[in-house]
Parts: sequence; C-alpha cells; structure tokens
Amino acid sequence: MELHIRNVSKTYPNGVQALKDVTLTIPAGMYGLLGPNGAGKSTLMRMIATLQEPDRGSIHLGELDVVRQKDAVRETLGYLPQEFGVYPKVSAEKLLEHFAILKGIVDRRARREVVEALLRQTNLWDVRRQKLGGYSGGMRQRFGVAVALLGNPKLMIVDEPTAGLDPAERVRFLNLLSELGEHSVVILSTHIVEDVSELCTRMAIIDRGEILLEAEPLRAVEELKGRIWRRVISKDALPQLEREHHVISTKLLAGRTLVHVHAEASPGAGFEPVEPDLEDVYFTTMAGRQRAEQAETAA
Amino acid sequence: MNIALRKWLEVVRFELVYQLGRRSTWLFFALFLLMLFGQVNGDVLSAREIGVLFNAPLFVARGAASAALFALLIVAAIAGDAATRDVQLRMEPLFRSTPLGAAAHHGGRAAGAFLVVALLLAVVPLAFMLASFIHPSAEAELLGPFRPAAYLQSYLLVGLPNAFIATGLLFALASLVRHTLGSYIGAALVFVGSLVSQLVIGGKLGRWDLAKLLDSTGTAALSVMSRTWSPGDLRTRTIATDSALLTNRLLWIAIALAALAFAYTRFRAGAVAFNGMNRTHRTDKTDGTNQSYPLQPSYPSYKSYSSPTSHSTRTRLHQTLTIAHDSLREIATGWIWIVLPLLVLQTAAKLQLQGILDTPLLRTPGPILQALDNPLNTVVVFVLLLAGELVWRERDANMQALADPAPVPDWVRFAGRLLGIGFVVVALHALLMLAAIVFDVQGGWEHFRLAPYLQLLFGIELAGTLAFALFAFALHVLVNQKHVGLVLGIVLSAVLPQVLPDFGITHPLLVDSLDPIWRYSDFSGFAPFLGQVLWLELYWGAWALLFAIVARLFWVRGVQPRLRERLRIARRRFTGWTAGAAVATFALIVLAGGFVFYNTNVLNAYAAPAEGPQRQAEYERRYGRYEHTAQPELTATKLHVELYPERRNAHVRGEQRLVNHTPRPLDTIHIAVAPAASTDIDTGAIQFDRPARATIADDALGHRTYVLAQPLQPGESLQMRWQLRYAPRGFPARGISTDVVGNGSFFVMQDWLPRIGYQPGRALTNAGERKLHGLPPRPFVASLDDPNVRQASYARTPVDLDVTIGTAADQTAVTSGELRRSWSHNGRRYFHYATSSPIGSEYAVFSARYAVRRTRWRDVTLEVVHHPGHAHNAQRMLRSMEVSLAQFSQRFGPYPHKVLRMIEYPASGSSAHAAPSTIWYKEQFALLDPDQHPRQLDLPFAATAHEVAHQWWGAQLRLARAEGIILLSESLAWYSAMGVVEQQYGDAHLQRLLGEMRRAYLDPRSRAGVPLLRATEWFNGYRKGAFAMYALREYAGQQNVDLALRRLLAAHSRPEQPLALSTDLLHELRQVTPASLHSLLGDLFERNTFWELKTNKATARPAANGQWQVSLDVVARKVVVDAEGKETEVAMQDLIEVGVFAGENEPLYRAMHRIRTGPQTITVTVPRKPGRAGIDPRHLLIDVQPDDNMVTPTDR
Repeated sequence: MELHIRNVSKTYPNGVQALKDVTLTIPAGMYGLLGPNGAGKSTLMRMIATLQEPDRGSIHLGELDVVRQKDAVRETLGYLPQEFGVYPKVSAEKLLEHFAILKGIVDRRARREVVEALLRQTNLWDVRRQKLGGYSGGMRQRFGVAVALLGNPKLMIVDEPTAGLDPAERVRFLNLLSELGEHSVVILSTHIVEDVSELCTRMAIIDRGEILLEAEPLRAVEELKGRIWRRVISKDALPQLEREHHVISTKLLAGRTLVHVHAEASPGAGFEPVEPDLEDVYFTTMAGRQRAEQAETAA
Repeated sequence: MNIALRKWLEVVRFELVYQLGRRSTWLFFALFLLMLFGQVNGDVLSAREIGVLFNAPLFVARGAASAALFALLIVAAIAGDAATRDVQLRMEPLFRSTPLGAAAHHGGRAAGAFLVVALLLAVVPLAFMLASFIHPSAEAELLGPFRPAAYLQSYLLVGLPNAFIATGLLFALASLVRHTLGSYIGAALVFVGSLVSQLVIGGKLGRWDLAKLLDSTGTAALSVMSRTWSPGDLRTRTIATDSALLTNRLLWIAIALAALAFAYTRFRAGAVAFNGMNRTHRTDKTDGTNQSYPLQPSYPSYKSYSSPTSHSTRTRLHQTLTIAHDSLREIATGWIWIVLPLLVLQTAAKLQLQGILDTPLLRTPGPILQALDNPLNTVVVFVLLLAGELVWRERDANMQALADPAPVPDWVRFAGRLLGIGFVVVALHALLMLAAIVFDVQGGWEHFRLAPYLQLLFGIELAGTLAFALFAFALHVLVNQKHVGLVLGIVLSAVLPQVLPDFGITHPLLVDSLDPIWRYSDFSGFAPFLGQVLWLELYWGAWALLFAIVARLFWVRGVQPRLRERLRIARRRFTGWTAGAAVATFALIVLAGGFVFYNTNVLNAYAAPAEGPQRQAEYERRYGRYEHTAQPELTATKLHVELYPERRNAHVRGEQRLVNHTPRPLDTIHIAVAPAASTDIDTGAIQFDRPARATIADDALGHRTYVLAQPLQPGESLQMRWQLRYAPRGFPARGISTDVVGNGSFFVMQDWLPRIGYQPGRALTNAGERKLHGLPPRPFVASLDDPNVRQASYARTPVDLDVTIGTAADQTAVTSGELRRSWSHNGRRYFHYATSSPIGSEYAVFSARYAVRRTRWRDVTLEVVHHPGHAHNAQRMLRSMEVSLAQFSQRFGPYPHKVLRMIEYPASGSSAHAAPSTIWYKEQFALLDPDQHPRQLDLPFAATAHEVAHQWWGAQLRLARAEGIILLSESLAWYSAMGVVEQQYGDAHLQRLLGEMRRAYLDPRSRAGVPLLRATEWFNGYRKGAFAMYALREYAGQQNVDLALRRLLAAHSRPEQPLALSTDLLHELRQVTPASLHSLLGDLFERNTFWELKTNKATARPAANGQWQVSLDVVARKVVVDAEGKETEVAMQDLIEVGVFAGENEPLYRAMHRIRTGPQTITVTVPRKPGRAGIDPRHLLIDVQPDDNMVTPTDR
C-alpha cells in the first residue's frame, strides 16, 4: 500500500501558505519528513490523518481517497499528534479502553488483551490505574503512542514524536517505530536529522510548504560523497568565506567556527574533505534553496 | 506614575482591547441590544398600561435593573472568560513568571471585564432616552419633563454598580473554581437570589427590609419604592433619595470587592495545579513512576496485535453506548452537583403550596404539577449547559487530535452524547417525579394517583426536553463557540419567546414558549389541552431534528476550519441519506405544522392578541351610540341546553320574554350575541312572535338590530326564540375553550346567550388602550360626582329562569334554581331547574361526575356539589352556609330563594364567586387544607360565609357601577362573615382571621389613595374597608351597624328603587351612630386617614391590694393622605382603646381613652400582674404598622 499526495496546497486565513503544490509518493516502511519549524510538516500530517482538508490536490491511500473517504481511512489509521491533551480525571487504562472501542475493538476479551499489551509495550502497565492528569510529559507521549497503535494501523503518522522525550526514551521509541515500519506505512515528521538518518528508508525535505528533496537517505548521502569540505576559521573570517564559497553549515567548535562547504572540487587551502552525513544533505538542500532565492532577488 | 500601576493599567487596557477585539463580544453586544430593544418596547407598552410616565426616574431605573438582569448572561460569559482564559489556554505559567505577578494580572483582567460590562450597560439609559423621543407609542401623555438626572442616576446607582457587583462576583467564582461555568452558576445565583429576596423573604415572610438588602441587583429595593411611592413621587422623585437602595449598593460593592480579594489571595497562594473540582491529581505525581523506568531498558519488542476491529452496526451501537457512558461520567463528575441542589431548592420552594391567607393546599396532583413547572425550566437551561460541555468535551481537554481520527462516524458521537444527556434528563424527571410523589404521599395516601405524574413528566414534558436537548446540541455544534452557543441558546429559548409577543409575533408555530399551555384538573386530567400540546411538541421536535441533521453536516472534526471550509465539508457530507432524512423530517414539520395551522387558522380564526382590543374598540365605535337607547327588558328565560361533554359540544334552544317598561313604544331591538370572532358560539336566527326584520347582523362583533313591524307598546311583551350552537373546532392558537369538556363543563350563561342592548362590559376599559385606539377616556366606574351616577348599572333585572339540561348519562348537570325533575332519555340524563323567585341574569351551567352533599335550613335546600375526591371541606362549607343563612337572615333580612348551592368547577386558582342562589368555586378552593393552617384559621368556613353574605351584598342590594362599589360588596361581605366566624368559633378565631387579613400590611404599599367611599381596588375593598367596618362595629355596636345595613337594603333592593351608592351606606351609618362618632365615620370613609399609634414603653409596679399600676408611654399621630400622596397631619383627639392583658391575651383592662397627637402617658390600675399592654390592642384603627401597638411592661 502506498500513499500518494498530489498537488496539495493549503493556505491559512492569515495568509500563510502552509503547503504549495506538494506531491509525494510514500511507500510502505518508514518515511521521514524532515524540515525546520513551520515548514508545513504538521499541516501535511494532519491532512493525511483526516483532520484537515487541502484547498487543492488529492491524497490517496492505496485506493482510498483520504479527503472523501475519511471514515474508511480512519479504520486503518494511527496518529500521534505533535501536541495533545487527555482527560485529566481518567486513568490510562480506562481511557485506552475507551479509545479501543472507538477504534472498533468491541470484543471484551480481545480489547483487554490489546490494552494490556499496549500498556506493557509503552511501559505504562505499572501506572495504568493512575489518573492521566498526573502523568509527566513523557508518559503522556507514550500514552499517545499506545492510542496510535490501537487497531493495528496500516498507516501510522507520528508528528514530531521525539520532541518531548529524553535521549533514552527517544531511542526506545524509535526502535518501536522501526519495528512498526516492517508492517505498514509509517510517516515520521521531525526537525531532528538523526531521527531520519537512523530509521528511515525514504525521506523528504520540506521547507515553507515546498518539497525540496525526495530521496533515500543512504543514496543522498552517497551522492554528496567528495563534495563536502570542512575548515575551522575564526568568526570574523566567516562573511568573507560565505561570499567566496558555498557554505552549507557553520558550527561552533571550541570557540572557533567549523564551516562545511559544498564544492565539486577542493575549494582551496585550509579545506579538508569530510565524509558527508544526512545533516549535510539537509543543509545542502536548505542552503541550495536559500542561494536560489538570493539569486532570484539579485536578478 | 508608579511603574507597577502603569503595568497594571497596561493589563487592563490589554484586556479591554482583547475583549473588544473579539467577535463574540460584539455578538453579545448585538444580542444584548436585541433584548434591550425588546425590553424598551415592552416597557413603553407597559407604562401605558399601568399608567406611569415612561421617563419617570424610578421607571427608568427599574428598566436599567431588569436590563442588568438580562445582561447577567453576558457578564457570565465575559467575566468567566477573563477569569479563566489563562487556564484554558495553558498560558498561566507564562503570566505567573512575569514580574507583575499573575495575581495582579488577574486583577487587571477583572477590571477590564468590568469596563466592558460597564460600557454595555451604559447603552441602557441611552436606549430609554432615545425611546422617549422616537418610539411611536411614546406620546406626550406618557412623558414628563425631560430629566437628565433620571438617566444619569439609573446608570450610576443601578447599571454601573450592578455591572461591578455582577462582574466581581462572577469573576471571583470563575477564578476560584478555575472554570467558566463558575460564572454561569454565579449568574444563576445572583438571579435566584433576587427572586428569593422578592418572592420569599419579602413576599412570603414579609421581611422587605431584609429583602431590600439581600437582593444584589437592587431590584427588590426598586420594587418596594414603586409600590410605596405616591403617584406624585412616582412621576418626579429621583432614586438617589432612597437610603435603602444606597445601602444596598454599598453593601454589595463591598461584598463584590471582598469576593475578588478572596479569589485574589487564593490565586496568589494557589499552585498551578489547583484545579477546583479535582485537586487530587497533584498527589498522583509523587508515586515515583518516573524513577522506575530506567529499570526497563527498552520497550518489549513490538508485535502486531491481530485485534479484531469491526465496524458493523453492532459496533456502532457499542460505540454509541461507550460515548454515552463517557458523557455520563463527565456529567456525573461535574456541574450536576451544583445544579442538582439548585433544582432541589427550587422544587422545595415551589412545592410550598399555599392558597388564600396562608392556608396550605392538600397535596394532590393538580397544584403539585403546576408547581413542578418552574424546576422543569431549570432542567432546560441545564440541558443547554450540558450540551455545551459535551460538544466541547474533547476540545476542552485538547484531546481532539487524538480522538478525532478514530474510525467513528459523526452520528455515533452525536447520538452517544445525546443519549448521555437523555439519560440525565430522564433521571432528573424521575427525580422530580419522586420528589412530587413523596411530597404527595406525605399528605396521605387517600388522594394519591401515579398517573398524572407519569403523564406530565414522562408524557408531556420528557419528549419536549429531549427535543430541546437535540436543539441545544445542534446549536452548540453549529455555533462552534461554547459561550456564544450558551448565550444564544438561552436567548432563543427563554428570552425571545418573552419579547416576540410585544412585536405581535405570537403564533405557536413561530414562538415556542416555555410557559405551559396545559392545565391539570382532577376533573378532566390534561384534556382538552393534550392534543395541542402533543402536536406542537411533534412540530417543534421535528424542527429540532432537522436542525440536528443540518448541524451534523457542520460537526467539526480535527482542525477548526473556516466558514468556507465548513460549508465545503458540509456539502460533501450531504449524502443521499442525509438528504432523505432531511426531507422526511421536513415532511414531518410540514405535516405537524400543517395540522396545527389547520387547527389554529382554518378551523379557528387566528387572531393576534392585538386584535382582541381592536375588536373591542370597533364594537364600541360602531354600537356604543346605542348604549342609552331605550330597550325592552328581559323578564323570563326558558332554556333547553343539550351538552355533549365527550364531543365538547353543546346546543341551546332559548325562549325569552321581553317587556317594554318604558313609557314609549319601541320598534328597534338591539341584541348582543356572542361574537363569532372570539368565541366558539354560533347564534342562529332570532325569531320574534311578531314580524321583524334584521337591519344589522354583525355576528363577528356580536351585534344585531331588529326592527319590529309593529312597535312594542308600553307594558306590552314580546317573545323571542333562538338557537345557538357551541362547537369548538380543533384547537385555537391560544386559549382553548374549556366551557364544555369531557368532565367538568362550566360556563357562565351570559357569555353565551343573546343579550338585550349594547353591552358596555365588552368595551375596552384600560385607559392607555382606549387612548391607543382613539376612544375617549371613560372611567372604569362612574364617579360619585357624576350626576348620572345612579344610572350606571350592571343591568341586572331579575328574571324567572327555567332551564332543562341534558348531559352524559354519568354526569350531573347543575344551574341556578330548584331541581324540579331529573330523568333519563336515550341514554342521556336530563335535569330540569326552575326558579321560584326571580334571579339576576348571572347564572352558570355545570356538568360533571359530581358528588353532592346536602342539608336543609328551614325551607332552603343547601348543597355542596363537588368532585367526589374533593370532599375535604364540603362539610364545613355546608355548616358555614347554614350558620350564615341563619345569622344573615336575622341580621339583614330574609334569604329570597329556596336553594343555595356551592358548585366546584375546574379552573386554576382558589377563588369563589357568588351569584344569586349559587356560589361557584375553583378546584383549589376545594383543596384548601385549613387543618394545616400555621395559625389555625378555618379559611374555607370564613370564605364561604363571605360568599353567602354576597347573597345580600350584591345579589339583593342593587349596586350602582360607581366608585365605592367594592366597599358595598366586598367590605360588607367580610363584615357580615366576621359575625359568622365569631358565632361558630368565638372571638379568638375572629381575631386570627383579622390578623391574617392584616398581613396585607406587610406588602409594601403607598399610603396615597382615595377614601373608602371612592374605593375600587382590591386592598381597599377586601382589607381596609373590612377593617373599617370592624372598627365601626366595635365603636358603634353590631346592632346599630346591622340596623343601618338593613335600612340600606330596604331602600335599594327592588328594581324600581334607586341603585345603591357608598354614600348611601355612610348616610345610613350616620343615622345610627351618635354624633360623637361622626368624626370617626369621616376618618374611616370620607378621608384616607391613617393613624400612627405606638407604645414606646410600658412600666408596671405593684400597687395597693395586690393590684398593679401600669403606665404606658404612647405616641400618636393622624395623617390624611390624598390620592397624589400629599400627607396632611390632622390634630387628633380620638377615642382609642387602651388594653392591658395578663399573659398573651387575657384582658385585665380594656377601655376607650381620649388620645391626642404626640407623646403622652396613660396610667391604669389592673388587678393582676400584666403581660402585655398598649394602645389599640385589637387594631381597630387603620395603622399600617400594627406591630408596635403593644409591648411587654417592665417592672419598676
């Protein structure tokens, strides 16, 4: 089953164009949607999760039209929103059962089993009787995961899931996701490059509503091989360097500035080649867009 | 400027700008303006009706107070939002961390909200001012000189303080419970507090001084002013002169400030996690689960759970129930615990069933069901509140993103929540029913019947409430803004039905009023109202359903969409199924509405309420000229009445004899028939025993004119025959005719039969309305100064009556006259009644499954004809009739008829009415339970004596329709009844009766008024006049007063004698009293005199021979108050009783003393130690503060 997004656009009442003619094809497996804050990731996620409609364009999950056949899509959908609340006065177990019924698991025995399994899976079993109002951010996030996993989803949408998690929790969660990716379409939106590089077989980079790159992470990294150069400079030298070279990223390193430059051949003295990683892919793509825009304004 | 202050002002400014920048604020403003428009319009109309100036200061202030009451809803929305926005938007930590501090922030919010409300209420005086200039009905007569102070004070003393008090209290409440609903509950409390102050503390307990303080809206204080101010004050006096109002304002401003301060300190101290109704979860955090998770190195490996999901119909059902269950959980853990006590309180208050003079009613379904009606309206408002909570349940928890993608169709969510509310509604109805039943059974099992409760709560009301729940839901879904939905819902369901009628929109298909259109009677249950009730319920229910079908299309799922998107989504959701359901529902609306319309507008002529007065005016304009046209007089009436109770149908055949008593031949006869336009009566052709032709036949207004071919010579008589049919068709828009019903038919025959001559009684009487319709002013009764005053008659020539009534086989038919024969024929019962002495033209026809209790007094048959279950008072009524007849015939002259009957009929109320030889009383009169009277008064006995007395004062004494008529009828009836009560139960009981009657003084009332000789209104006739007659009896002796009354009767009881005036009574009283009492007569009857008698102190000390010397410090004053309220003090030198009692009321000393104006000391010697002493112990003189006459003497 594949997810086809065709020419999807969305403009908000305040004039912000969240998505501009986005076209994507998302196959089974883990798919990473990478982009900075405000890139339109969440809008796209919500559209796929049937919570919002595009102004134009279509979204299809296999044969299903996501916009028009919402109910059918929802039957196979798992969605973990970026931000959500819960009924504070209800226990995790009760609320999960409630959601299980809403997802159509009406057989009492099966429901009990699923709820138990998921609570164990998300490490909430011991606190299942506790009111959700007393949960910490991470626990609540895990509860959201349990809800999303209910009903064996064929399409799993997780929106910035690792933002509120500590490093250990993040790792566990990503492991869980990758296991899930073996069975269904999993779309992971994030602004953290590592999330994608560690997990995803395919990815897209989105910025200000536009898809800048659609690729397999490994191949994209491969393609950059030999084209990324680094140099450590003083901060004052940066403007000069930026004028002369295609700087994709800068980073502070022990009080000096580490610069990554994109170039077909060695950009000159002081530069040394580096093994590219997905971050370089990301920054190259973003920088390329910036450059193109600057060129546009210059012209 | 102080930095902190400047920061704080910035918060206020921000709040103001924020509120004013919100669309909902302006929507509230618009709604408020709409309500205000309705209110001002209604006030103009009511100013005309009650005859006050529309721009008088007090009137404007009262307008401002009721507008502020309306505005409470909006205050709740605005203050609630301001108090809880940070919590709602989870911004609280952000503000708490600002250097200004969250609490100061909070105060700024409150101030901002107050300014918004103050701005809103500032519109009110402007609207009143504007209306006085531009409202088409605000004519010059309705306006005094323009006074800016009136408007300014209405704002500064009413509008603005109310804005502050309400905002303060509601804001404090909302921030204390950290939920906007706190402010709505606060609004309800303020509203209920105002009602309780006025109705219970003032009205029931008579503690108006407290009520004025306790009503935070100031309405009670203003209401007392409007009742105690003289007419002159009402026109010009400003409200700032009333200290009670000012005290009230200061008190409540202080309370509001205290509430804010309390909320402020709680807020300062309160942690973020303080969460009003759910404080527990704070402790949950500390159980150390966070520490436990590092022990679990990773999640268990994910396995795919092959959980069987299903989306079948059964699943949908299951899901619906789950959501219903969840809704119930929300309801059960929330506001129901605040609403429930409110409901219980209201029910308890309403179930204090009381009839006349504090006499409780028997606990039977009739009055209990009527009492349940208000609590049911509370349930409706509660449903609106709940629907809002449930529609917003997930979004309020910010859980919509988690819940909305679940594969559950919208209708399942809709239905599940509706089911949840439905369950609660059913439970509340069951609870109310239980309360009613427990209350009923406490009064004994003998009257208990379950059916009426089931029929009302689960038949009539439940369907309506559920339909309303549907509407409330749909409204919240459509409006998609919780507070706007709530306010709009209350406006649409409760306010609009009150306002629309003022604009002439009253048709039940257009306005769904919360007021009941049913009435329950033990005679006929809910019939004949049931059909109309159920059809209208179906009609409005279908609208609610259609509304819900439309709303479902707009159900918001996921991200809040723009209107255009909502429309687009709705269009997509509009499937064949939806269309089918909508069409089917619409068909139902058309069907039910069509049937209602067929009934109200085709079967019955629909008339807007304004058309009634219009017709009355038209009748007077066209035919008023015949008012004094000489007409023959009716002398005999023979009727054959066929009643068909089961068909609500009747047929009357009549034969009447007219005699020309005038000295001239008459050739034109004017006959008033029942107007076809406003009654269900169709009068056929009228035939005379000589050729005549109809020249006017205006059956719509009910006037016909016949010209006789041969004039009727003086002394000659004429036979007139006619038939009429009573046949109500279906149900009219309002006021179903209950003349003939399945059981308990009752109608006054006058209303049905053709009557001779123009009927002034059909004309408009209200001065304002007369003016509106361009009619010349016409006093309600003739002035004593009018030289033709004795011509003003009710035209009651005695007639011989002969009536045969046929009715259903199991019913008894009754009318005036003696029962000559009764028989069965063709499965129907027939009764033949005839009078052996002529009676007036006022008689009624009754038919029901009656029980009769009978006795004889000499040759007079006494009967109490009653519902078989209402025998409670029959015996004591019979006894009262017996004693009364015996006593009155001795005191005033013989009773002229061979029968005296009291007949019960179904109608709401507990009054009784006397007609010659017949007294009819309403159902609740039969339910009075004197055994339970808190101060042991046998009211049914006394009231029966009062009605029997009317057989002399009203039935025999022929009254001129003139000022003072109520003195001659009601005051004399009470005076007579006092003797009967005294004879049966002794003086102590009589004193209790008078004591109960004197409780009327507790109601605030202006002393301005006319003297009793010119009295026309209730208080003067039933109370003050009765007190005056009692005083006279004690001063002059009953023998003498009775002698005067006998003489009065002898001079004014036969048709050829002049009609009686109040001045005739005074004349006769003068004849029988010594000259020394003539000034008292003048004080009691000719002037509106008030005595102010007070005993400041009494001291007692032992004297010789074991006697005691009591000295009383009394102060006395006498004032005469004119109709405008001008008070003139008059020197007094009056004989007033001084009394000393042992214990409570064992007289030790009772004698008349001359009392002069001012303070004085009276010393008397009594044989024993006194317990009470004072001046005018029996309250013979008119003194509106009777409590301060007596004191307990102190020993010296």
